[in-house]
Amino acid sequence: MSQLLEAIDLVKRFPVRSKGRKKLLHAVDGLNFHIDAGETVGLVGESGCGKSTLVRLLTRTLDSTSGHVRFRGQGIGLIAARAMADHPLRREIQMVFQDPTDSLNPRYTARQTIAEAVHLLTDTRGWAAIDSAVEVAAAQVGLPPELLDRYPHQLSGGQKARVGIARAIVVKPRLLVLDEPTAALDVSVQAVILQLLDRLKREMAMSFLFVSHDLNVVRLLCDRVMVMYLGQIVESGPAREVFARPLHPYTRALIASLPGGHGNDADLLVGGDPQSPIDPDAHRCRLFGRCPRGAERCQTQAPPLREISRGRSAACHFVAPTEREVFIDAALTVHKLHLPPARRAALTTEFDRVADMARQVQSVRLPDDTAPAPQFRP
Amino acid sequence: MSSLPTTATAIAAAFAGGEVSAREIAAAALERIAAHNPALNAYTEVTAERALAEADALDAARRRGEAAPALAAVPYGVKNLFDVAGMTTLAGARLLAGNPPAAADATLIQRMHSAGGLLTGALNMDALAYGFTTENTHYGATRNPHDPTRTAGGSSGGSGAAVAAGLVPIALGSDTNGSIRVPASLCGVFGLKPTYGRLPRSGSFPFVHGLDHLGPLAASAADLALAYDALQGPDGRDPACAQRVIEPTTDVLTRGLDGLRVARLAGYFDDQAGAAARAASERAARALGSLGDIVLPEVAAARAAAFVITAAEGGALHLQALRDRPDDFEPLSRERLLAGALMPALWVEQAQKLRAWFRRRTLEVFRDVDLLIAPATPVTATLLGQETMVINGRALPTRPSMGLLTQPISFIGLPVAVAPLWPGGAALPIGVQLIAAPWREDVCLRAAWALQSAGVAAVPPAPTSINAR
Ligand SMILES: Nc1ncnc2c1ncn2[C@@H]1O[C@H](COP(=O)(O)OP(=O)(O)OP(=O)(O)O)[C@@H](O)[C@H]1O
Ligand code: SF4
Ligand SMILES: [Mg+2]
Repeated sequence: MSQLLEAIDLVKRFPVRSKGRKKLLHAVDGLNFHIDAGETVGLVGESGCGKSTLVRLLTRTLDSTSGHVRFRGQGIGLIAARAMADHPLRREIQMVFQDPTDSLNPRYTARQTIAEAVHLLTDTRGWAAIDSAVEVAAAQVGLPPELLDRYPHQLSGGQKARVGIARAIVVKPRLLVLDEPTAALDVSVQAVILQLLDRLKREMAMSFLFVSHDLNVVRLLCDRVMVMYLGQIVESGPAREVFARPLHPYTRALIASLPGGHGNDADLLVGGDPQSPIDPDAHRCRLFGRCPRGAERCQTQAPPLREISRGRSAACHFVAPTEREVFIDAALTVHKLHLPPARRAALTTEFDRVADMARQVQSVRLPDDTAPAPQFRP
Repeated sequence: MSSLPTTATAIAAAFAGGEVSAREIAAAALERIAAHNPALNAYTEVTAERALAEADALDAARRRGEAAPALAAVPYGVKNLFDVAGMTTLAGARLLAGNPPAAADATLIQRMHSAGGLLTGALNMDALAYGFTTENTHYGATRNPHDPTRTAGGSSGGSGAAVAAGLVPIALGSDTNGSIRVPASLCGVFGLKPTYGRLPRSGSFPFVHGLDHLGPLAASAADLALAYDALQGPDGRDPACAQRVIEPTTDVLTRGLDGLRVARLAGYFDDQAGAAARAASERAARALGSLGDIVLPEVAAARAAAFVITAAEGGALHLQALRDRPDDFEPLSRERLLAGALMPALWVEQAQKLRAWFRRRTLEVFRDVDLLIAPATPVTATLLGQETMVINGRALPTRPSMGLLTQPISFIGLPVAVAPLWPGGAALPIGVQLIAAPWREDVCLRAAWALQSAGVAAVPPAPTSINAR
């Protein structure tokens, strides 16, 4: 699959004042990840870990402190948040907001809300053409046509959520970012909207980034999941594998704490206070203090996010990478090579390919006396 | 102008017979290149002055009554990994663009020059010869003259395209895992990868010492033999060169296949071939009177071993630059080279052992057979940018898989000619490999000539020049 979006060393720090002193709040702290074309990625983590900040960096409604975001190979980090309104990329990345009530204009009917997006972001012109686009989108999200001329206060929570989704998909984006799309809804409505999103995911050729602190949502909808803690990704991998066999102590704790989960109590976070996102200690694991496995080393050395096995990464001193990762890291060190994360991931793919070839070679049983020999004697 | 001969054989004869001057031939070739190269991107540099100077020298020699050499007035191009005096040897790589110009011509260019060839320029290739599609991120993709949305093959893609488009009748290329045979197949021209150690590689940019071969691509079987004969001879500078005396093939070319035993390679070579490729190898087998099918043992493992050795040697060659200047590498192959440099030595050792064993087993086949036939590529030319190709229902990554059928053969150094077929009158060609025992290039070339005389293999008039008229 080809990469649609790539974040490279992405950082956002907010200047804050604490006890009268200027400090920096590390909301997003050096993220590296990618979203492939057609892929649905989940982003989970507790309140305040930086999910919405990351979303705002990706949708370019907030300027990053440093790092890059590439969309379809093109750097978009340099487009200032202010300039984004007029940029063609604005159509390609669409947002669905958490609270449908807040995000809808109370003086617009559903039809006007959806039509406005078509008018602002696409080349479709003429009342009839725009209206037919609106009706197609309404049908896609299961919004009955007779509701299109109602105002938000005349719609239920679930219907308003559908209007919010229709407004985003009507412009045919390549990436749809949903920040807690069901958090504001009644539990009964949540399920229906999740079903709708699941259907859209299968019907539309789009990539999705689902932001949620609800693991079940992510488990249901996502191909891949990224777990965030205090501004950093602590684990990522295929959703099914991560839920079946979480690697990082924080992911294990999240899963153990699910209601009705069959998690192990020993995995739950311990009582200590969470560390502050303000000027955090760079030489200490962010989870230390709450981590049931925390040890001496975790106070003096922050664990890097490393690939543990094919497609799975975690940042914890006690999650042992596979032999192949140990080997590649050692070989890189011996050769004094330092690779940025994207190249490191590409290297793993190529290394796997050579390893597959070597395995094919090894599968042939050769006579014991076989020795390498020069090509031909002339 | 349209009355000028187009094959090397005809050009050399016309010049020798005094019907045409070398300058006229050179000027016409340069004109074709100027007209068609912008659409093809086959040339990375055109050496117009040199071609004209070489032509003038030939014309002067003829005026003095000197005999015309074998390739007199034949325009040709070279893959840009050959040293050309006064030019930087790029090997398709921006990495090398800052190097000083070469002081002297590569040995094979010196031989082409002595034989009367007119060097028209340097031809595009995959960076560092690592690739089968000539999709070069820094110097642009070379386009297939039969369909500009498709690859010309690689890594000698510029060589294949230049001959197929009729810009020159002969081009030199290199073949480590299939880099002459793949473009010959996808562009529909003849190609020869001689026995490992036959042609000297001195003055060319290496990739994998133990697998690198140089050789010609040409517009006809006779042109191929003519070029090959001019290129032969011992050399003191390439340690792998076998120092054999020249064994001319032009004289025996037309002898037909009398007395030669022919078989078709089945098994792996059918499994990894699409329908068109299988049809081509069956068609060639029928035309050459194949006695039946032969299955070689462990071909998939042999191909895998070639892959391992290539990555290891290529990676080792470029490790220092991978460390110092990673941004100047072709992104399509950079991490593959790096993975090669980092792999355990054990894997390479096992691959080398398998190579010795596979060579021994394959050479046994030549007790009963003189010529083996197999398709040259699994499919006809794929689209530029195409990531996957489907062979018999399996989706495979395009770029490495184009060499599936060539790799096992060059792995053990056997000589191979490629002849272009057009199954069912198709718009896109596909080549067959004509494989012989070590040092029997004559057999490969006789088979190529036989297929061409029977009308089974052909290089049709250049499609670009047709379009232009
Ligand atoms: N404009 C701002 N100025 C200062 N700090 C901010 C600003 N915006 C966010 N923060 C801080 O950045 C951190 C991350 O906030 P963010 O809203 O991204 O978290 P979140 O993961 O989306 O949380 P929730 O699940 O509650 O929505 C928090 O500590 C927050 O207080
Ligand atoms: S590094 Fe230490 S504190 Fe951090 S998650 Fe692992 S065990 Fe816990
Ligand atoms: Mg939030």
